[in-house]
Amino acid sequence: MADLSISGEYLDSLRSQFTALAAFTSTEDDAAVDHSSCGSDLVATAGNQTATLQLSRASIASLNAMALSEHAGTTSVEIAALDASLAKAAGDK
Amino acid sequence: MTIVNPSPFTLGYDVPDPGKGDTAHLRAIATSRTTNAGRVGDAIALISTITGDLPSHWTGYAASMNLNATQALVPDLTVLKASYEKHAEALTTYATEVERIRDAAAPQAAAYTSASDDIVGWRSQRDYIEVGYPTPREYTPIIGAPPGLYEEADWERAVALDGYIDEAEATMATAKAALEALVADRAAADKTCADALSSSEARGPFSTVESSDGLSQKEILDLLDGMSPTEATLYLNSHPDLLNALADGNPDNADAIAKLWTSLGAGGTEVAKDHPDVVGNLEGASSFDRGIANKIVLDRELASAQRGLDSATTPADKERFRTRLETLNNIVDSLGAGMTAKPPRSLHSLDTSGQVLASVVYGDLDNADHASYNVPGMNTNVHDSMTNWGKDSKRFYDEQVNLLIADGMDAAEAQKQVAVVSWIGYDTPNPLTVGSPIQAIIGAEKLQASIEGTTAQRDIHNPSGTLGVVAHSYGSTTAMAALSKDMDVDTLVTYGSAGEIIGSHPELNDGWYQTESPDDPWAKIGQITGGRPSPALDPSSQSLDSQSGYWENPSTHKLEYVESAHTHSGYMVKDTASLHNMAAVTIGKPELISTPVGPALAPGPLGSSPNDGAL
Repeated sequence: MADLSISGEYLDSLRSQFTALAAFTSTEDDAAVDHSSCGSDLVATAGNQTATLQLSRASIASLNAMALSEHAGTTSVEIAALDASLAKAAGDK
Repeated sequence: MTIVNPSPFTLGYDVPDPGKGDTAHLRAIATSRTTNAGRVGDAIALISTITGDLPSHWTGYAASMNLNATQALVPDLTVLKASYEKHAEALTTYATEVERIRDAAAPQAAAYTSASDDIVGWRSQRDYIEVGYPTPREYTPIIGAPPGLYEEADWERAVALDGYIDEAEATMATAKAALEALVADRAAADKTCADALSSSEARGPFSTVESSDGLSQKEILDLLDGMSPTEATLYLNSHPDLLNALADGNPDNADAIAKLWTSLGAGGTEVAKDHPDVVGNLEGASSFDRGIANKIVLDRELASAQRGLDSATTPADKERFRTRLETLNNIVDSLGAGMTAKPPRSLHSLDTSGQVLASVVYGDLDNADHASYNVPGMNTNVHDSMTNWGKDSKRFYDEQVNLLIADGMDAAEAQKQVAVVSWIGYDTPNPLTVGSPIQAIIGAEKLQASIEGTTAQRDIHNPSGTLGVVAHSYGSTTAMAALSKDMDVDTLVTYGSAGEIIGSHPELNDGWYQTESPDDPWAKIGQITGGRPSPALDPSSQSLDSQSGYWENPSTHKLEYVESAHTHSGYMVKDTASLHNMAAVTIGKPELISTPVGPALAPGPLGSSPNDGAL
């Protein structure tokens, strides 16, 4: 029940922080990091592979941040529902 | 990413251009890496703020989970930041060196070109002089020659031109040697940069793991288990042979795949995107990620079929590609708005290797409290039936949700707690083959595999949830054969069954129900044609009423009426007893089953289904 000490307002704020976090690691266009014109096959291959890995890492980080936002959002909904339920119970008395 | 071959050197000999390449673009990439590193740094700082503030606002289990998960982001982000920084450093250093080489090469190339041009001109002049090659060391007049043919002035000019040519050739040689030295410098710079870009600092910890060649499945899983989720994801993505090895053991290793997939977390989505052909039908992988993978494959197949149609020259080819496009587009239609639809829909399986097979999930298959398969019978295929089979399945989903709501569950929660697989996952028989058990036996193996994957995921995410199978006509023959092996399925409902293959007695946790309308001739025909007894004759099955009746709504405590199901394809029609009762038992609420009323109260047919006549 300790979770209920949290306000829906804080969870909304937390959710927006996670959304901002996801935006920090949002992925980019492949073409922007294409090394093919560098003049060396060796460098182009290594550079493109590293860029691909960075895209994957950024994507995973972004998805994780969004999942945390969703978790905070879900909790917010649950708390709102519980608040409504408690209010209704109080009104019924 | 495509590697474009660099442009050839333009000086007319075989020394490559040591300064080639677009260094401005390299610097632009380096700048973007630096910017990204800064953004990730900001993200790490934000995490510090979040984790610092959170405990004073929120405590308890959910808070701890959120806090731990938030803190767990930092190591990955730290690796990503270091990668960006190393990348930027390597490219900046490289661009600087390439530009130095380019600057040094330019005058050498100019000298080489100039000397080369001079030689051409001097040789041309020398060729006009009537002095043979090589030029004699001393002038010797030709005795008896006419005046002006070979005079001393000509000889002197030939000697001078020879000297100019020798000097220019020396210049060319010097320039070439300098250029070759710069080419060596460039090769060294290339290697240094590539090494930096391939270093563990740029690639991350997974890149230091030794080769995994020849590992057994268990060793592969142990290896991945020893890495962080992100590193395991990247390792798996960069070693497709490992993924293929795991797929080879599927579905027997579905439990291990499910465990791996759960540990990968968001990384599983990355693997799905990078290897959609494997992940799409990998039993044990999350249904969400399989949906992403199969959508990628579907889009690719659609594009391929469209290209085929566009380039087809014969009527037969055009018809073939048109049919394939129609088939694939039926899947697109069934998916509708996909994960943004209500309920969310995803392409759980897709097999385009022969006749297209596919299954669409309504709801969250891995997590819902109550998951069910809807298995079709004769003449059901993706081309002709995907949309309507999906509609039946969605109607079944809706009925289950409605009953959960009637039982007191919040509407939003009820929608989350139901999932239905509209499963056209086997090659169903036609009227000529429906008497044979072969396609049921083959289909049973496929259904077993699918259930194994689903169960593996659900055992992790919702082990107390229920799994049901509702199966129509010949689909029930298939389902009974599949469930004759204990698949940990809770409930089976056969409706309008085409009969049970003798010996394929299903094993269920909770119950086996069967329902058959009195005015359903096709079920009987299927049973007789195949020599398969009706499941009603099996004492293990319980009869589930398909005739009109009443059930008590636990929310309102009022009796609610359900209609009789009619014909072979009326079982999933809205407001019928069959739909209602199948929904009730598959959500574990047999107390909601309707009680029949007399035939005199039963209404007429409620309408026909597009699948009318399917066995």
